[in-house]
Amino acid sequence: MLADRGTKVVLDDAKAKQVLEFMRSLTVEKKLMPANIDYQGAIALFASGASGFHLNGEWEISTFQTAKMPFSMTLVPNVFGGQYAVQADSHTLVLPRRDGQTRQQLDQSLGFVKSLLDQSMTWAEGGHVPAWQPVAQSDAYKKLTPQSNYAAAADAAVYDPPGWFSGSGSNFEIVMGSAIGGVETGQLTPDAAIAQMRARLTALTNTPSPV
Amino acid sequence: MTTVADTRPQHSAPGTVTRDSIDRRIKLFNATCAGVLIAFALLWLVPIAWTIDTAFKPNAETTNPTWAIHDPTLASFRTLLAQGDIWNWYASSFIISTASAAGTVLTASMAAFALSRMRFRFRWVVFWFILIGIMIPHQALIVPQFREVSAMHLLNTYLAVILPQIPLAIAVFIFKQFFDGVPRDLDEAARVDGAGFFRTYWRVVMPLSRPVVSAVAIFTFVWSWNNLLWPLLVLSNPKLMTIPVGIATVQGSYGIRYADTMAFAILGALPLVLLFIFFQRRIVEGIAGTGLKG
Amino acid sequence: MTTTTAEDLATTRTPTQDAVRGEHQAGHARPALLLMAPFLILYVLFIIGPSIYMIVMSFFNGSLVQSGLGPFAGFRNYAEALGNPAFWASMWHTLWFTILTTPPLVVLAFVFALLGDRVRRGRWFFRLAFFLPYILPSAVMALIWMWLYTPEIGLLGRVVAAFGFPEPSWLGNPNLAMWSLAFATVWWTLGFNFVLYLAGLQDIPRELYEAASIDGAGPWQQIRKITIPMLARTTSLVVVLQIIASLKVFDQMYIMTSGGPNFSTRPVLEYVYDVGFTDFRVGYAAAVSTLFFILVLAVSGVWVFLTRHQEQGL
Repeated sequence: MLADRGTKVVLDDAKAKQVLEFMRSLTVEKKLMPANIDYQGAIALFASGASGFHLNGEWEISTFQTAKMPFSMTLVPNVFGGQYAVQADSHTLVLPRRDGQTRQQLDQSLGFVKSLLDQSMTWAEGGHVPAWQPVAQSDAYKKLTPQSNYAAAADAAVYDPPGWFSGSGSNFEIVMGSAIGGVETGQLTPDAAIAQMRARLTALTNTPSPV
Repeated sequence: MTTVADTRPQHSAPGTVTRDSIDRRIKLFNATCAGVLIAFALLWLVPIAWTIDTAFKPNAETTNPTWAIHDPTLASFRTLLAQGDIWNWYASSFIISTASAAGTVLTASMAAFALSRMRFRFRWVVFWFILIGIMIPHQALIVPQFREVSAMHLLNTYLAVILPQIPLAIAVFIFKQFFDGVPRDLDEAARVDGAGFFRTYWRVVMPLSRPVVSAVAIFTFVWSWNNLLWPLLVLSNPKLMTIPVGIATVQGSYGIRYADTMAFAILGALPLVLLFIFFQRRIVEGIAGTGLKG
Repeated sequence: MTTTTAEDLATTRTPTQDAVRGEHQAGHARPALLLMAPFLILYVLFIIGPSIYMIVMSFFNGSLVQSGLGPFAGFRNYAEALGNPAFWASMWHTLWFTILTTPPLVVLAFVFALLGDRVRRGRWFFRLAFFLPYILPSAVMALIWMWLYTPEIGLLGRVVAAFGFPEPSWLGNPNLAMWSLAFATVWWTLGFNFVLYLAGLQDIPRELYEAASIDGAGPWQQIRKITIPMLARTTSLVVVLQIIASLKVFDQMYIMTSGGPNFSTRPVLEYVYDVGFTDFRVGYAAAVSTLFFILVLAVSGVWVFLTRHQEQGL
């Protein structure tokens, strides 16, 4: 959707329309999913057994485990065929360069990073796919279900396009999400949603980066 | 207050307006008014009643709720109080609000005393300088204030919230208006006895100003306690957050644990509700007094 | 309320009083400054200073994550704001919210106060019922109403469904969300105006009503001819306080809808928050803040102008 580090909008209208029409068919036309429900409401429906599927991030696994309901987890299906790809993001640790940093400070920073990686099994239990290969390849992780069911997502993960306004919880996601949400509730037609996305993203790409 | 002599006939031929029939009409009218108001008041209480009702249920019962509580429990309250964060938030809110209220009362009353009692050349300049402050909406200043507080290295400290909340121009005017009405002879008497201005302020005028001091103190305390936008910006350390910031930050993460969420709401409101119950009359008098003086 | 001055008291002057007065006339400046200093220092530092800094910042393209003012931008930030549909949308949302909340908050509070004035006993109950919501922090009010508005299991949805109507998406429908927020806000803040009006009503001398009823005026006429005019000053105060408070709205939208759905409830202050603290563009945010500042000043100014005439008329 974005190119040149978030300075150009390259939205493919045809593909976007195909996707939006598919999503609209699920909620508005075939009524397989409720059109008007909020995040917590969808969770409540699934937890109470009122809905058969729940499409969400893996982090909610603990909610459903606490609710003590029978469920399993799997990869997002490959709806349109072709090469499999899923949107994902990850927790990334950035160590800014600090001139005059002592060896001890560097050791502490790296030690902190190591401590997080050492806890990879805990992260896995919380639903995340561990990036730390010794854990990802271990038998213990492979036996952890339903978390290990979707480990292949890590190989097919596609991050949000880079840009100063992009990233997890960013303006990019808010702009895209509100347009897509509007299609799902029936408020916006796919064409109107695409126009809205394009307009808002163009405004953002035209704004000089403050970072 | 004079009473007007009532010359309407008490009893008279049927069909004419009598004092009795007017009294009865008035009584009926009053009763209707009371009835309508009671109905609305009960409606007004419903959201709070529903909140309390939900908080005493186990979480599982909240996904299909009725007014009846099948399994009353304090579990939600226990969960929240055991969590630890809420105690930090209570402390934070209490410290910040008390300091802000005290700071505002002291600084504003001192400045008002100077403006009311003392003569100096630039008195009117200062007066108008502070007057414009009443019209400045504090919320518009969040961006530059944030930069300033950040440059002072005060982010994530209580001072970051307290200091910008203390200078309240309207408080200066409320105090000044009150002081203007306090007779000067007491001041003069004190000064003849050799008291300086500060002692006159502290020993003579302030003790006479209890109603306005308590009104300003209570209002600043409540306003500071409930302030969300500014503390939200400058307090990102969960240990320092005030109650509203804490609630705003974690409210999404309770998910479908609605009983916990409602218990959280009750615990968040409890300190102010208790304050209100104890100081009800003062608060109401405060609003009425300062409001009508316009 | 009378203001006594030293001049008034000195109808019979004595030499000592004169000396005392003259002495104090000279040296007032320094002690006055000392008394005013704490307030003035904080006031300049945190109110006046930032006001000026904000205007300065608006002419640069500063970034939240970089120190300094940033590259000079002239009037570009203002041009961008005034040409940006998102900015105007947020202004409209703020205005719409003000329109939705001010009439009910003034009229309903007045009506309730009128009714309450007729009731001799049990005033504490009405004060409690209407004023209790007012002291709740906005975050608590938001939790309560989000629960009431929860799809499928919220109380309001169930009540509507019980009457046979389909449950509206209170906070999820862009056309309905602002109404839902306004409704919750009226519940939350009506108590303040109620108390203000109740106090005003009690200040109206009873003999006016007695005289009117002897002249044959019914209760409705009494309200129109006596009560409403006598409360004109209170009403104008209530209205302007309400309008200015509505212009500054932020909390409810931030917590309950995050400005959504699809930005349909985002008020000006949340727009400032988004562009300044999420997008990091503090220069642009300062420009928007300055425009907002001017709007609030204009509204206050209009009120001061109007009530100046009103006081003269009375």
